Amino acid sequence: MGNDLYNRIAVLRAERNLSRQDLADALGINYQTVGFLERGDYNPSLTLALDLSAYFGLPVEAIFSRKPLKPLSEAVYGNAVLKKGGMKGWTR
Amino acid sequence: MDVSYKILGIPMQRQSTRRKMVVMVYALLLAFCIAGIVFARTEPQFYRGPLYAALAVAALVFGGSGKWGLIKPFPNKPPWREPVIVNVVRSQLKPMALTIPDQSGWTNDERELARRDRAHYLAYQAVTIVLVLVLPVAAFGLRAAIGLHHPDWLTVTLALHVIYALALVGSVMAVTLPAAIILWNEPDMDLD
Repeated sequence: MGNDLYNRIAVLRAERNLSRQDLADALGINYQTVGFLERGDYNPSLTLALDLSAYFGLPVEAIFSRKPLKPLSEAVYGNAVLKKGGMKGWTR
Repeated sequence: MDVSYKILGIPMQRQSTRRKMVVMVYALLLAFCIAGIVFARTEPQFYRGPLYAALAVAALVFGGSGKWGLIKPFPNKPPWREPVIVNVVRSQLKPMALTIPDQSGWTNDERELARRDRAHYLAYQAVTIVLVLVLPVAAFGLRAAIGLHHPDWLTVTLALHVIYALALVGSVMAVTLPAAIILWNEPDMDLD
C-alpha cells in the first residue's frame, strides 16, 4: 500500500469561505502547508489531522481517506439521487 | 520558507528560480574554494575567505540561522525583536526596553520541521563522505611524516594540502548544504 492520502480540505475550506491564511491561523500552521495538504503533497501528522477534524466538526474519515474521495454531493445525496432516477447516464 | 524575502530584488517563490540561485551561489563558493586551495601554497590563512563567504551566504541568502535569509531559523526559535520603548513621556518612567519575541511567521510548522530534518540527514551523508576521505589521506601523511613505508610521490606537504582542501570543502558544505537542499527541493510556493 502506498502513501496516498486523499482529503477534502479544499472543498471544506471553500464551503466555509475561508482563505488558506484563515485556516492556517486557526490550526497554527503556515498557509503554504495548507496548500501542500490540499494538493496531497504532504500527509499531516495525526495531531494535525485531528485538529482539522475538530476545526471542521467532522470525523477524520470524512476529511481523509486512503481511497479517492467521492464528491461531497454524491457522498451525501448519491443514493437518494440514484433512487429518484437522477444523474441519468451515471455509471459506477 | 519566507516567500516575501527577495534576493537582489528577485522573488524566490519559483523552484526554478531558487535552483538557479543555488547553482550560482555554489559556483561562486567553488571558485572561492579553488582560490583558497591555490593560495594555500603561499598563504594558508586564506581559508577564511571561502569560510566567511559560506557563513555570509548561510546568514543572508539561504537562511536557517537567524533573522535574514529565505529559510526560517532551524532552531525554530524566533529572532528577538528590536527593543521597544513604550510610552516613555506619558508615564514619566525611565525608558524601559521591552523585548518580546516576534512569533509571527518565524516558527516552523510540522511540514517545515520534517523538511528541515530530512535536509540535515541528506547533508550529513555528504559531509560524512568528505570526512571519511580525510582519514586515509591523514594516515598516509602521518606515515610519510614518521618515515614509515609510503609512495615516493607522497610528501607530508602534499597530504596536508589535500587535507586542507577536503576540510575547506567540507566546512563550506556543512555551513550551507542543509538550507541549499531545502531551497532545491521545495516546490513552487504560492502567495495566499
